[in-house]
Amino acid sequence: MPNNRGNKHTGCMYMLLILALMAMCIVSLSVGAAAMPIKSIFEAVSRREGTNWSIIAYIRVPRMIGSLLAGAGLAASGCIIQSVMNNPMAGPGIIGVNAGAGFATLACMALFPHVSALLPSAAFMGAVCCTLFIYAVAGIMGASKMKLILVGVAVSSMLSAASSLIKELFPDIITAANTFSVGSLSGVNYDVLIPAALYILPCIALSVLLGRNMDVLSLGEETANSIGLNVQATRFALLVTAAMLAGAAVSFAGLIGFVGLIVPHMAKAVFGSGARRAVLGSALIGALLVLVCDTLGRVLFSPYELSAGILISLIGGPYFLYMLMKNSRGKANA
Amino acid sequence: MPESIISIRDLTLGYYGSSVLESISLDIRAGEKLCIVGLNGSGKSTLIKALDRCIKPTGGGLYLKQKEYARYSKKEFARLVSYVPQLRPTPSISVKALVEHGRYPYVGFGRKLSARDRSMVEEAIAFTGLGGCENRLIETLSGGERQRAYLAMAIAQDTEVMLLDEPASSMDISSRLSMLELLSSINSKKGAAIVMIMHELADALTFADRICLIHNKGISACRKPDELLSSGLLEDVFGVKIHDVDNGRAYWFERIR
Repeated sequence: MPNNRGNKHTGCMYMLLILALMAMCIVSLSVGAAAMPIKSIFEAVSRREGTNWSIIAYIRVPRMIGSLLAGAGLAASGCIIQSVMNNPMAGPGIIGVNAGAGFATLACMALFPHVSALLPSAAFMGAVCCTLFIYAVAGIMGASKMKLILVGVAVSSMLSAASSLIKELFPDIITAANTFSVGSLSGVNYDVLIPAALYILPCIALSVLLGRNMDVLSLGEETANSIGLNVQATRFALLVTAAMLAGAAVSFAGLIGFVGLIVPHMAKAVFGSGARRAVLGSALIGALLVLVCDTLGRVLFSPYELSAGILISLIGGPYFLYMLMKNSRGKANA
Repeated sequence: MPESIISIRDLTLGYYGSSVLESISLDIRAGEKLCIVGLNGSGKSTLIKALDRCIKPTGGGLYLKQKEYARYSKKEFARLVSYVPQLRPTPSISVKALVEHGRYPYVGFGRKLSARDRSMVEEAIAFTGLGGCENRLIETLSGGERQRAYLAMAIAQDTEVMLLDEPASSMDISSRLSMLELLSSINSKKGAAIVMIMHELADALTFADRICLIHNKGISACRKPDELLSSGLLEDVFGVKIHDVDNGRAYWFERIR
């Protein structure tokens, strides 16, 4: 049975996703500890003054934008990594993003406890530097997919151990560290969102442009090489792009798990094969997923908040198991 | 004598400090069908990968149309030499999408296919007998059909040399013969030189214009099938007696050691 998704179907799905995103944005602005009907939102925006306006402009809009950016960045990053590594179980963690960002953030919390403004930059630099380090070490041995994964596992383990050591030596940072490791959009502001957006949006555009190269990479290294693709350079460029996407997201949202792992599979189910559609679709679905989870987290146990990362893990874990079971059943029936 | 399209000069190939092939020299002629045979582990795949620039030689030189391999850009090289490896992943794409990748060396940054590109793709699909399967996913095809799909991609690449690593492996007799007929057709109609590794000696003897026998880290001989047969080298290397039963159209083999 052919599985090509025609252009018409793709266009419809994009429109549906965008409409869903817009609807969810309005919902996220109106629900919360201080519930606001849509009419009140429009009144507050037109007046640009009052309590409602302050809540919308300085709390809910940044949080909404943060959810969209984090979801889009992590999902697009996961999509790129799964395509480049030819591994449907890969995610940003495999290239050291989580370990690098986590270690750098904890080091910053421990060494510069009064300079919280440094944390987003530290997380981003930690993620990207760790990826580059992994690539450099793997490159000595040929930078094949397997070497990258193995070196990634080794480096991530070392950094995780180092992170645990920091927590042991500086127990005061444990609460903040736990919030970071679970992932949360509480308290995000424009100071961290703008720099992150400057990385996430162009990197998504770049990965869409490089989509055809990703499709060629999926044919295997030897075939890709034989039709003229510079495999090493393309893989490097895509992995650095993925690291910047995930690093920028982690810099303000913390280590939200599962988005980079499960959203690319959702995108593939909706949009079919084709890296360009997969990346764009992943970005839209990821944005929607994180926004939905963050919004739910604010209302489910209101006035208490559940971090977006916790809800996504609660949804993501069972979905991941469902995917594994569906795959096994498919292979058993084949 | 037809001119050489690929020239191998004192080539040494190896992995992790140990050599697999040492100081080999060979001229691959334009438009010929050359089969590379040898015992398991003799270096056949290593040679084919070096010819496609998948691995770098540790010594000697490779020349394509009298120009050093290293002087070709990736896409320039890909327009002249195509390669169908033995082991390939099974991407979740259609036959048509796979064959379209064969035009990659010819498309620009925007990756849009021209009318000529589309026509080459359609022609390649029809040539390999996959007409009607354009929209089927690769993973739903049989092994033989998958091999044909990759061959169609190489045909769409429109090169002067096609390198194939055991194109008929894991195929039944009917599919194998069908594959060889297809390769002969590519050679005669497209004029491409076919260089391929074969394990089936009988197929190599009936198919090839020349057979290159690899043994003891070198090329023992590179001759026409009948000359190689009469030299006794195949029997020495493989330890089999080769009986011609139909004037070069069929053979049977008797183990002698």
